[in-house]
Amino acid sequence: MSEGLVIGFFGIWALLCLLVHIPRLKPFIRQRDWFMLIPEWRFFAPRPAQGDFHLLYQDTFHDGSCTNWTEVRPMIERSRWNIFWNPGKRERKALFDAVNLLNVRISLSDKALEGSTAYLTLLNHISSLPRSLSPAFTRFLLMQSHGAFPEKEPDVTFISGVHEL
Amino acid sequence: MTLLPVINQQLAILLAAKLAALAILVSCAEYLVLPRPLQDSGLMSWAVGRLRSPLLVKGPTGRVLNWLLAYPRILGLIALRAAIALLILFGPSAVVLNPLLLCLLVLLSMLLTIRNAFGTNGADQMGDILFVGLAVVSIVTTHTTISVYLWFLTFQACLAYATAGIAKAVASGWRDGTYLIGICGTRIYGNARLRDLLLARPTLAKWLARLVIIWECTFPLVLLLPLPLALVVLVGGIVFHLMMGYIMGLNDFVWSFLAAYPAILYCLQMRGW
Repeated sequence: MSEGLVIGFFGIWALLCLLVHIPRLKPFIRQRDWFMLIPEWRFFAPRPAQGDFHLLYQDTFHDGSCTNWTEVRPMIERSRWNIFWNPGKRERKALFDAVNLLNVRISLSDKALEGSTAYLTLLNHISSLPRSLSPAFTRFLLMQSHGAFPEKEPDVTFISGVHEL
Repeated sequence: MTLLPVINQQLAILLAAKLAALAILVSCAEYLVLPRPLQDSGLMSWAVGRLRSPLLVKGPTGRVLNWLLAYPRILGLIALRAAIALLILFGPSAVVLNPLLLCLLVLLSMLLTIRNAFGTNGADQMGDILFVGLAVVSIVTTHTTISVYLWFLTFQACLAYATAGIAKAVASGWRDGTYLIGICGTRIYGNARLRDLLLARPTLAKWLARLVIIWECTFPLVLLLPLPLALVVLVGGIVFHLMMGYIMGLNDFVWSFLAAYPAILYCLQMRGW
């Protein structure tokens, strides 16, 4: 009896992993996959990001003066030891995920963009950075560089609204 | 069958669990050494990430999850997860297949999945799939359930490579190598020396990309190929993951995906030719 249940469990699980690739069924399965156990393996396909995302911020003071745009933790070259040990990857991937999600919402002209988790995550992050002065407002900017052609100027992909600090 | 040392169920399941435990151990250690993204101000902030669903904020569920997952308490849960992974990695089979230990590990992994809106990857997902299945099998441990589980892991590996390969094959940028050069040019996943080499030799980029596509698309054939050829495909997989670890910094994929290989070896042995 319990053996049959286990076989049924793995059978249904495997079936769901196949059905999630059917576009009509995908939203139904995705909405219920709270623990991310129904994968959609892509490995950088079909269209991978071919440049890095850069998060910059600019503060404004009460007198109206602004700071220069400053990049939050510029990405450094990875080490050869990253094959064994790569603690920095989580933060880089989190920025990558947040920007990707934000881009999706921008492409959909989402009116609730500023209430999205991606927007709030980026805003919360730049608002919490230590500062030596006390600015009144801040905003952030996203840029994408061109991986294969580093000499090419990065594209500005998004500038946020101004928010009180 | 002389090429393949006898890999019985027990050995296959132990090797799979230990490789996946190593992936979890490394991942937890990386979180603990660099916890900055998990802080309330970080890019994996729970204070912001929980706003994505009312269930994570309101009512008793929201309160319990907030108590468990807020920073810095989350570091305690990650340390506990690392300790269990350590036990599985170095413990005897009685420990590796202990249902209580496995269920606790799965619970902690699921809590981490719920917590992190951003920053996780396919290696985390593969590890979770492996340990959820193992926890189920540890509760009902029979020859049949273990066999079904090992076939399920083999299915997941074949599905992973095949879907990724097909998704690449339909993209012209993958087929002509330009996407490969583009990825190599990024700092997050790239390698400047390889980018320069591929930019100078676009034909090499094209054929490297095609080699990856062909290998990924045809991986499921490993179950149909004669044994020596099947082993060549698996060795190709090991080389592929080691290279991705070195070039792209995807270190956790090495262990979590290779964890499925003992199951594939078992299935190769069980197919009867």
